[in-house]
Amino acid sequence: MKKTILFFIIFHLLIIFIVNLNGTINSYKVFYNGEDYKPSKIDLVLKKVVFTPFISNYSSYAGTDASYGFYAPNVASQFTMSLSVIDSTGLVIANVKRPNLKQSESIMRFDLCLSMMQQKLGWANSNEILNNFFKVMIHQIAMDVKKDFPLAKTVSVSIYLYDYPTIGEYLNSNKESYILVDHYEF
Amino acid sequence: MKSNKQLEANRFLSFFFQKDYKNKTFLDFFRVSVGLFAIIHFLSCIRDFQKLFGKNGIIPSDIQELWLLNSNYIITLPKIISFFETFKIPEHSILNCFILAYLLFAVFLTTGLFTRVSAFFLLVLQLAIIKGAGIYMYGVDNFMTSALFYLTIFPSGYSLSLDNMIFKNRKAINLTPFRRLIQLHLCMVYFFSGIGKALGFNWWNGEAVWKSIHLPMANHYFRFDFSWLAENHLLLIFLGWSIIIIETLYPIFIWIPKTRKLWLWLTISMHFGIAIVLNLYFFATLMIILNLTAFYFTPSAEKTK
Repeated sequence: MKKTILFFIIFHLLIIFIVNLNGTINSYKVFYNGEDYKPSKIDLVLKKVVFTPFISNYSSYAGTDASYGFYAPNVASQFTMSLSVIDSTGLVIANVKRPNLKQSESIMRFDLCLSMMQQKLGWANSNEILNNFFKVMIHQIAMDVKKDFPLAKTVSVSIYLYDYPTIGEYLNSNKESYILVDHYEF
Repeated sequence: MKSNKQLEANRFLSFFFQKDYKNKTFLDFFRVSVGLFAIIHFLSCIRDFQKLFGKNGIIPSDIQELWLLNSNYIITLPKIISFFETFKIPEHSILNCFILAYLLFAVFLTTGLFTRVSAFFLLVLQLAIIKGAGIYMYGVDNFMTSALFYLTIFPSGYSLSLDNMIFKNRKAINLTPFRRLIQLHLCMVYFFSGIGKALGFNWWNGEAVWKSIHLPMANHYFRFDFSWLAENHLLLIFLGWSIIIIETLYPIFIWIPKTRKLWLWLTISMHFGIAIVLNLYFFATLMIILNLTAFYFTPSAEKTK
């Protein structure tokens, strides 16, 4: 019995170690080389192990399928959305930041869907699949907002990168800005 | 030489299997607090549940599936809905039953009724939610899954539970290996979190702290004015270095009896700050629960060693 327990503990911790080693190396390389960096042999071996069906299923059930590099090696930028609801005469009926959600935790969760924009921007060459996926996702969000306004004809969606000045820039009187990174009309 | 090896092996085994049948508080605390946490966290999204996690929510599940590579061995909420829809049961009825089942198992887990079975079903339901809508997932979800996984495999209804009252289980269980697993898991969590930060130059020059406290998601409720920190940016550097040190050296100082309390409270303070400033209340609370479970209720023999 002792041997079984010990074997399980070592196996479990080893998986956590491999997943985290893979995650740490990956985020380090993405941070310094961009999303489409060339993986080394070690990267490929680690990825292969992590995505082995048995390991990936086990780590999903054990909650150990993501690495713990929170806000590392760099704090990720945040994106915000602005949706303008327009009627048939071209008049803007409403401006909203997101679909109508009632609880703050739901809002926080929902806003996470824009974090994949970081990946979209990180690719040196445009990734068509990612672009299309993002467009379909934003379309669905726009349609959900449109449902709340019976007079709505179109919804215009702008995605902004929230750019807060660095300490030095702030001391030189630079203020926060929102950089337009994508725009859609549905 | 041989006896040295034998000694090492014995020390190793005693680390994991030192007899401890009495100090059950950590397990009781873990089960009750995770159960209560599950209820409160679940209720924090309940009014938007369909919009976020339903099959036809804001971002429908078939679109999310294009992005998320889920295994066939994970039953997601959209899969559950699709299955019951074949019996002409509408989505809202399925969701209501799902919500009821989640809350019921969470209450069972908290009170310790059919504890491990409840923990297992709660784990399955938890995974169904987060893997079905992984686009909305963040750190707290993984730790919640881990906590439920541990409650499933640990003898979590061992004491202070309805199971214990009803079934009167008097079998003594050595609790050390379970405590060690959580302890070592947490050490890995903080070590990798700290190392990851140390690899980024922005954590050394204060910019990472400056950026994180000014993110749009941060500082919502208290609206602290942090502008004075720009002129006193040595404090930002100090905070960045402190976080790296607390996290990376956690696996060392948390094991030394003399520094354990200090490190535990430093870590808890860090999470308290995360809760207040970054608005990550649930994440911070769960991390505090895990820390207290692992290192607060240690046997008195370990405190004085």
